[in-house]
Amino acid sequence: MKKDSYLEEDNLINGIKENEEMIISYVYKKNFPVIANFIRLNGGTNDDAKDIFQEAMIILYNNLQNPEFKLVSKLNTYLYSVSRNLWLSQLRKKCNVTDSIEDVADYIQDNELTFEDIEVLNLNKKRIELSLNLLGEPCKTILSYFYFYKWSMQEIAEAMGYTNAENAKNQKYKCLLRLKKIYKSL
Amino acid sequence: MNTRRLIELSEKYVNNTLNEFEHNELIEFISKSEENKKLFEENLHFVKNLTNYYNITLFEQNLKKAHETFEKEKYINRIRRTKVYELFVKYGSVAAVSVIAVLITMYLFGWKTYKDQINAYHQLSNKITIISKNQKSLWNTIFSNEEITYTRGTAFAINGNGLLATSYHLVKDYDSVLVINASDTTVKIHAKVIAGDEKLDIAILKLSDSSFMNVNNVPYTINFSYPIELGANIYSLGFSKSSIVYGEGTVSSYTGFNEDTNSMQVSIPTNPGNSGSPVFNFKGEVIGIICGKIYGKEGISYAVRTIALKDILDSISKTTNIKINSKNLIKNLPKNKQIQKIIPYIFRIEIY
Repeated sequence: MKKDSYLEEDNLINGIKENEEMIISYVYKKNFPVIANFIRLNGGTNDDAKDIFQEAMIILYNNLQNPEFKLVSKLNTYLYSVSRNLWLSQLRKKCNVTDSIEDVADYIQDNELTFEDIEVLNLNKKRIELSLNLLGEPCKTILSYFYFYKWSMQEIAEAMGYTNAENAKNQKYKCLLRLKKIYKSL
Repeated sequence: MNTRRLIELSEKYVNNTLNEFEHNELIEFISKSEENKKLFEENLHFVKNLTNYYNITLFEQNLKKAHETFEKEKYINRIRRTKVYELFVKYGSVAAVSVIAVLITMYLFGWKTYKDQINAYHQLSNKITIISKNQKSLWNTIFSNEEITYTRGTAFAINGNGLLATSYHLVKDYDSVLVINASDTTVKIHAKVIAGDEKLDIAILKLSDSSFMNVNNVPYTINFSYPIELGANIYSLGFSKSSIVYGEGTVSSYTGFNEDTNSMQVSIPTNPGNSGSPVFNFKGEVIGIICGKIYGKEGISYAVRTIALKDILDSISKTTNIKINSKNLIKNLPKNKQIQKIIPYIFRIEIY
């Protein structure tokens, strides 16, 4: 397979969806400078650009998790317009301007997440984060091994010093239930 | 179903890894009561959010890595660029200085040569004007300050019927032409200009008394189609003074003054009075008529080619019958004998 075809649009989108490090890095390298330039030209810093672009990437990622979502425009166009809208809305908040900056939703995708959806997602994420912080060790580590690093139960058992995988599994579910309790209470 | 089993199944449901048995178990549980369904949905919501949290965290971490890679590459590129820049400053400036030096040298040198050429051109053009001023006809103008002036030149016989050829510039501004025989300077015979061409610088004279010449036929012939041979030995006989003067030389160029193809350049020493002198090759054929020289330059004389003479003769042959000698009597004679035979047919002319 040629490198070019490997880096076709579909492959890139799929890579982002599947959380593939290399593809994300590639998309980042290709798209970040353009957006950074736009933000720098519109009164932002490099850090602003980084935040905005990463936010746009996360929005794309969240959207891609929905199987009904379909990217109509090209990937770079989408990222650019999302970043642009994000930055403009941030500017609007900062400067308290309501109408001078035109907010054009130039490229509307099929079944795209609304602003509210994203808010909800962020809220839920924060709630989980908070619950995890309250959970304490060793549950936090076990859960992160399992969900974040995608280790098998056997590996977790070895790492945590449990006698077998079944033990680890039991421990994991205990932790999960505890976490759920905390989550519910928040 | 206990809570542990429920969360396990919910997790499997979210990950889409339920087998048929588990699927049935779950459906059975949900359909049992509204409360169970609510419980399941709660679990589902929690598991979804949890996986989502970890996925997004992973994604963010990937983004962070990507950003770091990006910055690192940018930094490396910048370093590379600065290195290139340093190299450029270090060696590029040296290179640039030498290139500029070379260019300046070339420019100045080229400019100088160009200027030299311009100067040479001016000089050359000056020379051209000088030369044209200096291309004096070989007139021997005597008593030029007196009221009566006359010009001297040379003429030679074309045939025995009293037709002579000479240079047109000799007779151009005057009306009477006197022809003097070399052997007897006391007798002067009047001649009439019957044809002439200023451009070709040839004039045809006709003697009023044809009995003036001793014999009917001239001993030499006129080679009308003489191909110019550079280096061919030639000689000329003319009256640059009162008695006849012999001059010898070679054909030195195909063309005459100002690249004129009707004449040729010869290296016969000529003096004023030589105008109209015939140029012979060593077969005793007339191949040209001396018409001029460059003033102040030795060995550069010009002679009109006989091909031009033919043009003139052709133009007058329409009205008068011209008999031209075709039998060369001196062809095989040595040069001194040839000259002896030729001399009686060379005349000094005085033009008033």
